[in-house]
Amino acid sequence: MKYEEFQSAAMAFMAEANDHGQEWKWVPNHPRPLQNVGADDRGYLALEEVYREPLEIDSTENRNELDDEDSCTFIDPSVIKSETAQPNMYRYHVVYVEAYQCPVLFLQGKSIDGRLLDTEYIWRDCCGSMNHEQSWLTDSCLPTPEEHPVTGEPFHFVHPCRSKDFMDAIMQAFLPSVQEPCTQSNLRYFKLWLSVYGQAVGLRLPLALHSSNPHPT
Amino acid sequence: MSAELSSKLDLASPATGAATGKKDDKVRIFAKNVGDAPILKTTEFSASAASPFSRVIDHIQKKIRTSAAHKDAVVHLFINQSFSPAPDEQLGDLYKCFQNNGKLVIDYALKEAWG
Repeated sequence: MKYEEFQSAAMAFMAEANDHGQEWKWVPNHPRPLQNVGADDRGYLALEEVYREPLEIDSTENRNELDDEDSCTFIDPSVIKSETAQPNMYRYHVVYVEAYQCPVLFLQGKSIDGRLLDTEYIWRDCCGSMNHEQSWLTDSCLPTPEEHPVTGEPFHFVHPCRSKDFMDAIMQAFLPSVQEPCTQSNLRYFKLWLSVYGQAVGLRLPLALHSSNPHPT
Repeated sequence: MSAELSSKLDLASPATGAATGKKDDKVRIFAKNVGDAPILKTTEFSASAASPFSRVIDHIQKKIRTSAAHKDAVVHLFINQSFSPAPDEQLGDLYKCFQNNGKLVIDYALKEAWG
């Protein structure tokens, strides 16, 4: 996928997603004087302020473990859910990266008081419900720390090394019998890509988004 | 659907083919291979409408991994040839939105996506 195709698909996706109650926005790239990077006419897609309830660890179970001195187990205080637990806030950014020739999904997690969530916490909090003890996802799909390519902020990203090959193969396999317009094909690519890579980091898309472009099998 | 071609993910009642959201409703599923993914011996099966999509992923991956050639295979499942549902998506909801002739058609591929 080329950048122009990405931008076109991202814009179309944003319009549909917003219609279905998921507020994505297009963010123009900003100049970064310190890095000597100027402004351009490019941008990225952002879904901000996605709140997620913190890890659900049974507090009764934790208390039992802690009470039993003979079988005392280390408990990370950050994973103990208390009655006052506040949701964490996640940001999801879709940025086109030339080196990979495909969109790349970035995410940043913060606690409600603004502290950045660390990598292992994000793995458990954000990816846990998706891949914990589930054999079809492996460690290689876990997000790793990466500087945001536009803003320079500390983010995590789903490693995109195999994204292009994967998407090319799947799109080829799902070629419609009747040739579709490029804009529709690019939008289909974008939705399919986001559904695959988003689920690895807990990003949910409204089901209705996928029923708006039925592709009979 | 012949008995030979059918299996059940759940051990309860047979498939009704119509998910209405009730707990014991069944969803009929047709699994279709993509690319070089092997064809399953049993391509049709049923599952509880209340169960998560992860049960189908587990089921298909388990079947594929019985072959030595695919013992470490990671499957990716798609619906409507347009998206990959989240593992915790309910089968009943997917059926209501995307069923085709009374079946939820699922394409599965073995292509590696991560790394």
